[in-house]
Amino acid sequence: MSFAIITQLLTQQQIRQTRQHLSSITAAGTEENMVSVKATAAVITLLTVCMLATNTSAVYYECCRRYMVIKIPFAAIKGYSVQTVTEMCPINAIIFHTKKGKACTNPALNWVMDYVNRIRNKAQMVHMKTSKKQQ
Amino acid sequence: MSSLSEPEYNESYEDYYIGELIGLCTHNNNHSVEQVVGPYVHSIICILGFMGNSLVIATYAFYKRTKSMTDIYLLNVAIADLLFVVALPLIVYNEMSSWSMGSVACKLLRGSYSVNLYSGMLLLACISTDRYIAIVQARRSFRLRSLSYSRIICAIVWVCAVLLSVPTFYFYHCYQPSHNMMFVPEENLTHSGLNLSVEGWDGVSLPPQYVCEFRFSDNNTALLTKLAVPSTQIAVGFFLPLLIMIFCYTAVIITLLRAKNFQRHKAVRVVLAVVVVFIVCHLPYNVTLLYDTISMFDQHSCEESDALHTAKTVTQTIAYMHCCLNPVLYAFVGVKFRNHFRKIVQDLWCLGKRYIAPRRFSRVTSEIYVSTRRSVDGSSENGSSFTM
Repeated sequence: MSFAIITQLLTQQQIRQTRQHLSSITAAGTEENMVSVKATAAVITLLTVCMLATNTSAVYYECCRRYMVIKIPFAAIKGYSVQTVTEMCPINAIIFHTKKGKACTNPALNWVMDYVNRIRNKAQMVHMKTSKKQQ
Repeated sequence: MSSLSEPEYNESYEDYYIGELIGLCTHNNNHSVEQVVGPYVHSIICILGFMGNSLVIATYAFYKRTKSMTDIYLLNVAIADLLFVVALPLIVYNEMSSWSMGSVACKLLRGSYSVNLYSGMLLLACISTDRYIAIVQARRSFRLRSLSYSRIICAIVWVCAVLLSVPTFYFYHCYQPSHNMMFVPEENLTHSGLNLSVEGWDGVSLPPQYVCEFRFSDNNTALLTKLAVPSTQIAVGFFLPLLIMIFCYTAVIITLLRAKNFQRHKAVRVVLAVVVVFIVCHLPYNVTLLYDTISMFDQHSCEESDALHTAKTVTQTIAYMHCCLNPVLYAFVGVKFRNHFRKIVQDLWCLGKRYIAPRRFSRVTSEIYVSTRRSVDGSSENGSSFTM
């Protein structure tokens, strides 16, 4: 079977000569240039469309990758979010939203869960007060 | 209550000191790479890949009947690559901003991406095995390289690719990431007392943001699948085909070098090109993916994480380039294939000329047509089905 390839390779030389012959004929055709101009135009248009479509920034793929080492003051916290490995992010985290920005904290730490409970309790209190008022 | 359990913590200190925050990683480098390089390079890859692979398919559909095992493999590789480059721009477009095409498209696009990745890679391994049998095991080749065998093997490859992609189909969802939703104790309340709001990093409310990513119902499945999916991709989608290719092509090269022929070096070069291009395209991405998978659950600084994401984006783009190189490396390297391909181009010209320049080139065209016909017929007479 290796012989078969070699025969193929031999015929390839003959073919190459034919191709040279062909290209010398086709060189006369000007429409070859026209085709390439059209192709270039199509590519440029596509690229422009792509560029216009990408003029947005994605904040969606942001994740916590490391935890705060020091504690955050509770008074600075406005609220919290939960990042879990069951979604797109690779580690679990409690994200505290502070006046200065977001803080990634380790849910295994006691103070973190304590803050979460305090926020929850605070909300529960407000809830009870408001529902009483409405009644 | 909490201040009792933490006596060292005092309220007045709390009020004025926040300190340096460790926030969410924004991956600015990766974003700028994605924004600048991504769309341009991806569209070039998509256009070239689309043209190359659809030419291969068109050649088989209109000009060349699938006569051999190699033909069937090449056709299947072209189909896998074509589906891949069709899905790619849609994925890139959706990842650029919020995923806008919904849950069905999310599952279908991610799933077909995975199916085509696996089938493409496994079929390349099949091609190397086919060449190995043709050259090294030449005596058995007539029995082993039959059409029905290759159809069965292709079917097995596609079924395996689909089975390996089941987790992707199943666990990818289109959703709003819950860590973008903030629980705030406020006056206007939901029933739980906690108000949910979606905020950007600067506290400005954002429109709903959807991602097409993994989502699981429990922790253990999440950890397992997040490790298993990329590991399988590296093992079955890269190392297995790589090992098969290295084994088969080494044997092929040894056999070719033993044959005394002045043209053998061309064949060796083609084989080397196939292997080198495969390694250059896929090794960087798979090494990055391996490192990413190993260190996935570790804590990283944002700089590290950003660098890793950027490396993944760049190497992935290099890996994508492989699907537009496949038609050149496998199909158009073959003499017969090139002739068929030339015939397609010329037939298209003939069609085009009827509309563009009715009279002027007709004589030249017929001349080209006749001479190609002759060369095509000439090449198809020698019986080898081994395209190289």
